[in-house]
Amino acid sequence: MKLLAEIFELFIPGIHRRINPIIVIVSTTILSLTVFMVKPIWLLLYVAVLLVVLLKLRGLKVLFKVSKALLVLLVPFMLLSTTFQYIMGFIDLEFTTISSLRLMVLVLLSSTTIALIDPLHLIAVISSKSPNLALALALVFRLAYTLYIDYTRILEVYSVNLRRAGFIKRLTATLTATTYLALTSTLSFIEYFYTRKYLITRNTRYKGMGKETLGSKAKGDSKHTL
Amino acid sequence: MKAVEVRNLVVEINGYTIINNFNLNVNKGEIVLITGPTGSGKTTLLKVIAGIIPYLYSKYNVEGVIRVLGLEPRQAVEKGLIAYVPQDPIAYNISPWIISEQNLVSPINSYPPRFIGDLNVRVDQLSLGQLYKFISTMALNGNVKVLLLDEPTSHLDSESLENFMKHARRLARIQKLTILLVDHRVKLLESYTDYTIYMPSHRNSVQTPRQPHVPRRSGNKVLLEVVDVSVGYSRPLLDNVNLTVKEGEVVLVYGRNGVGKTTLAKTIAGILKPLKGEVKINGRLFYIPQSPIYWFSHRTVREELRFYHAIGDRRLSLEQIVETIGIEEILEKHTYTLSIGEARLLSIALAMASGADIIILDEPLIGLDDYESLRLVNTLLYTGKRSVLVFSHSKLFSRVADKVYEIRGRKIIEATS
Repeated sequence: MKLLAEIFELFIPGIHRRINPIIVIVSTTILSLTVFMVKPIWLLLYVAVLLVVLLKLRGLKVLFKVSKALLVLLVPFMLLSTTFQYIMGFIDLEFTTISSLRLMVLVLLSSTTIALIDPLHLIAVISSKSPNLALALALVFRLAYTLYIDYTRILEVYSVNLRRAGFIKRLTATLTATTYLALTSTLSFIEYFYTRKYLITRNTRYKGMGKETLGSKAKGDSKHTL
Repeated sequence: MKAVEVRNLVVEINGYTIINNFNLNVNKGEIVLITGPTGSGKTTLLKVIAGIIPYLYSKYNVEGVIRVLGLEPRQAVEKGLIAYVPQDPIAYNISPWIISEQNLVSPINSYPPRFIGDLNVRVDQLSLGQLYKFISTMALNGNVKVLLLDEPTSHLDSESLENFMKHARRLARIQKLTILLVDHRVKLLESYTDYTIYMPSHRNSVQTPRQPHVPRRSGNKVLLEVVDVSVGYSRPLLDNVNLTVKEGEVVLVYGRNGVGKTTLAKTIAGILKPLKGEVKINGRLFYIPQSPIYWFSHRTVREELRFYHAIGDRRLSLEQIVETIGIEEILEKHTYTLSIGEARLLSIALAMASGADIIILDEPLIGLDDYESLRLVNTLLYTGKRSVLVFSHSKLFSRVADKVYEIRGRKIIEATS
């Protein structure tokens, strides 16, 4: 169950603001479409490049998390695919491998897209053109983080309180509680966003974004001490 | 022109009246405390003034006149004149990163969050107290003329509250900032406010215990022993922690915001590993977190209780537990529509149903009024041979505690016994 939390963690939005988020979204969407068109050998190149980008964006620990997450996603996928082929009367391992590679690229690409986008930057760029679209996108990007927080909080509580319950009972309870809690959190998020919309759209617009990453700004800021 | 004007306000949902004929007139630059028991509609009032109700929730029926600086609440919100700081700060931020949110702060009024340290952290890596401090100081920036604060004393310790209120008071004087506070702790806040308004309750859901089936009984058996433990994430927050909890004891661990209470609670519960030392547990634990307040997995209170009772040792019947805690009236309610007080009492009932030997309570008084706080404290007198370990920034639990530990700096010391 902890692996699921690590998968959610892979989809937490980043703080990088060097690239315009619209360019990120458009280019990764195009890239994701090419996954189904390019020769299989290119998929390996995609994986290698995306892993390097992710390592750069999210640090060394992510390597282990990516490996675990991909294992969790790919092994059942490959097993299901092979079983289905067996039932259909043929087994094509080449097809299974290529499909798995495609899935791997799509997961890595989604993670990279989200890591490259700061939701506040996205709102700043889009809200002047379409505030409702900005709200919808902010919600989408925030949802992964909401799920991560709510799932880990429930997981922590149940790891103690439901230690004696069986795995299936604990998993069912964890997923149900996470769903209830995530719905409540999303409603709260919409409420707070509604009251903060003015400040967010106004302040993010005039701050001249895109010049530096916020991370680099923070490192030089030594006055914030405990 | 009044800063906030409310006339003959009536708020109803599905035929149930939450606020009935309420009036409020607040001048510019005033700091007003609104208090009242849980369920009296205090948070609803703030949401009506902030324009959240009925604009986001159309099922609410709102009648009466509400003006903020002469404008409709929605217009005032759209002009950025209102800032609302909610009770649960975890869902407030849009970006997961503190540094990103801090970038929104206008340099004119900036009140840097020095208490956080490294700003390159995620929201979920801060304690709720730190996060509340951060978002309340963020709210003071920009064009804000009316600040709405929901339950600030729940998250802020007395020193943080004093610092924040002094800063807010200065802004009220210089910039005519108007502040509406909703809180239960009148004594703590009245020295910072101009006056207090009381909202009466329209409901009475939680009953007082009628049949205490399981009065508290102490024993000599040590259920929990913490030996030279250091806790923290990458670096230690607390060093050489030593504490023991015997059968039937109530033990309070008291400390300020951000000192590491939750980290210690999680380490004792086994959620986090100690950096050093050993936690010896001789019994079954039950952990009631500070957040989320709602962590239930079943639709109704009755179903939730049955689930935990089925995996517990069934020393007590469900009826005995329900009567002892006094939650008969809420058995058919949806677990996610309970008030915070009701959710806390349900958590203790679940701990009893699960047959736990040690109950760990992290900041249990968040969102509770005086009556409910005392009700919760007194409930601990009916937990039988179970031990209770409470982590709080309030000393209220010292009334029933057998031992009080205080966190000072990175040490924990036994204050009284």
